[in-house]
Amino acid sequence: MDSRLRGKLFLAFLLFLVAIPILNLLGQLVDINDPKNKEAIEYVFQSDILLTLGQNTVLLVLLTTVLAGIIGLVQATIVKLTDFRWSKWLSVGFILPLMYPLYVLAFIYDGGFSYSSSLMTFLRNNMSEGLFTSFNTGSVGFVAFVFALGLSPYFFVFFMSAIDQVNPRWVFAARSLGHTPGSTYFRLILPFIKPWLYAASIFVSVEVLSDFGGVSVFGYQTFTLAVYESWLSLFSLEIAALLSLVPLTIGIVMFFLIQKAKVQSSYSRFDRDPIVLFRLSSKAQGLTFLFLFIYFSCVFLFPMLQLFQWFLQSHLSQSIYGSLELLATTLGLGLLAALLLVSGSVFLIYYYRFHMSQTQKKWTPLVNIGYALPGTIVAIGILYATRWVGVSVSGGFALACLLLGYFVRFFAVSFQMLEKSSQRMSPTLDWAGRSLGEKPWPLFTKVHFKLLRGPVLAASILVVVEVIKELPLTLILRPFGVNTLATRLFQFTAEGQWEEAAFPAMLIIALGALSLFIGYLGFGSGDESA
Amino acid sequence: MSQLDVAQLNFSYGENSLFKDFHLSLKAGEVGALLGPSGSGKSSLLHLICGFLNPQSGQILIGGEDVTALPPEERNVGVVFQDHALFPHMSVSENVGFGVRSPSAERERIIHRYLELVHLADRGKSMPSELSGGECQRIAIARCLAAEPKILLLDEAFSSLDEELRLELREDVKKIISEAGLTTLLVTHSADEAKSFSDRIFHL
Repeated sequence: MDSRLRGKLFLAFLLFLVAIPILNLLGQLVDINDPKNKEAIEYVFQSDILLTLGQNTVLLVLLTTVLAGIIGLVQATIVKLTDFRWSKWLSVGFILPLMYPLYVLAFIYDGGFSYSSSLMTFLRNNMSEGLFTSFNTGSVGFVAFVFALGLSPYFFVFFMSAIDQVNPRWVFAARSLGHTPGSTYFRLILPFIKPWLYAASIFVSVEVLSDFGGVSVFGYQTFTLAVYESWLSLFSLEIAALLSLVPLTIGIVMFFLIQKAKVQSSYSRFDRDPIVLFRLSSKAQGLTFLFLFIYFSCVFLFPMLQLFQWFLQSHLSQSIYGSLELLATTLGLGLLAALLLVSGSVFLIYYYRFHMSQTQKKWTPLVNIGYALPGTIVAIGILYATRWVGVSVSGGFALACLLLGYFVRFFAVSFQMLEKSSQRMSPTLDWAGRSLGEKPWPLFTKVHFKLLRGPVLAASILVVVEVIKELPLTLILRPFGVNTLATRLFQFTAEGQWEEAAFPAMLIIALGALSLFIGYLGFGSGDESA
Repeated sequence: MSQLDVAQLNFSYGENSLFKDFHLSLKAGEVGALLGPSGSGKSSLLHLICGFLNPQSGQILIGGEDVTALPPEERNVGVVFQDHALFPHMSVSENVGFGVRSPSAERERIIHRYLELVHLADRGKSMPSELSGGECQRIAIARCLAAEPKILLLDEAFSSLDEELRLELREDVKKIISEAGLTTLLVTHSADEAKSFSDRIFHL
């Protein structure tokens, strides 16, 4: 078979896998006369469920985005535009909250601010009893605050990258044209970083829309939670599938917006000179320290102390042994997924590099679309698809469904990491090899793959960690009796057993830190292949 | 009377002394050129005059006023950089109007006047990325002039252009600043450029 045709078929196969949940959910619209679908449509449209879920979701997305945006902007400004002494440390410290999956941060705050928690008991005894008796952790403000703590690093990273591209001479020009530091910031810098603001807002919105575990812990009704509950409590796959259409559509739109934002945010780079737009007075230094103290207390001090306190109160040996046992199962699942996803990515990189036409290359980014879709929706889409096969979702078939779900959700994680490294390899490498008489596949295995070994390892670890952290897909599609760290954590938090949830949470955070180390701090990015 | 006076200026980067009792003076309307090899401190001197760097001691006077302690935005000094430093996310008109502090209608009139002066009146709505190198430099000059500075500093402003364009733009700028009677200091590493453009040359 012609290599080009093989490349085309391989890409078509990957796109088919990604399309399974999406097309099956959209397929309901065609199958509208099915009695079960009719019943679901009547139920959804006769109640005010769509309106309530819509309002809740929009409000949460907006509030979280605004709060996270403000935090990220302040952080990037301190690091990049002031003479604050510890900027270098802060540039790492501000990214660290990404190690928390939102549901972990959510359960710490939900438990930590519950009526019987040590903190609330202390506050009731020493401060306003009334205020701390009626404190509602499920309010949109509190949920958005916790989400913003976990998601502000996205804004921080985008703003850092944006300010990096500000030419220091623009600032000189603005100042010499009569603009004060403040006016230069508001009239020059902020308008310049708008494309990054849009891109970060889209990323954060996708994260909030995709979240299931966090809103579930707080009991805050959004589409993802309603989809899950329709399936679990109402036993109605049809209602779940129908409700899924809203987040599915939003996810697809967001995916294309992210692709577009990438293009819009490309300005030319300049050699970096430090830009000290604001020289901090002692009062400003004091305010900066106050901000840092509050921020780091919220993202590290309080969560870590609370987790540690619960951990000490748990049945230590049972908790540690149980969690490690679960970690082994979870790791097995993660390794299996990594093997499939990373192999698929390597083959796709090979075909992309040697055999694809420009048209096929344009279709390739579509394999990443699953990352913009909530896990709950992907799971329901796959369950919906199994109706056509007519096999009950259990045992080996359930495992296959689960792996398909991981593929749809996380193929982007492995493919994008390898693609980035592959792009760093000059085409002259291919031309040199081919001119020396090597055929594409042997050339790829002898040269490219060897250069990709670091990124392949990094991508595998990232996939394993994503699988370990993943909650809704695993919760819905896992074979009977199979648990992961995340699903067990979910069960503990659903029953209010904060103490027992502490150790699995600590393990997940540690793995999140590892993933962060690889993904953001450059380890395994394949510089050796440059 | 001097429009620009740099007197007994001392400046060093750490232990590396760049200027020791340095003196420079330009009369109103005079065009000076600061000539020297790379690393001799030409650009640092411009940064000192603009206020982006602060001297250890000495005085900088503009129009007779001591501006040594003033921040850059209060000195009223226009600078044109080698890479023109146009703001890429703003249109040509927005760039030219960035330093203009007048009500809207008056502002538009000023922007148009300076765009005409640099022969680019029809490019107001364009973005900098749509302009050629020479056009960008003209816009950068229009942006400076529109803010009505007391002195104009040109930091290797013609260096990035090709020979033909450089000569053409140099003549145009010379004509514009001569008509405006603007005190100007050109930083360059080219002796030819210094000779043909300026009334006086300062060697560093």
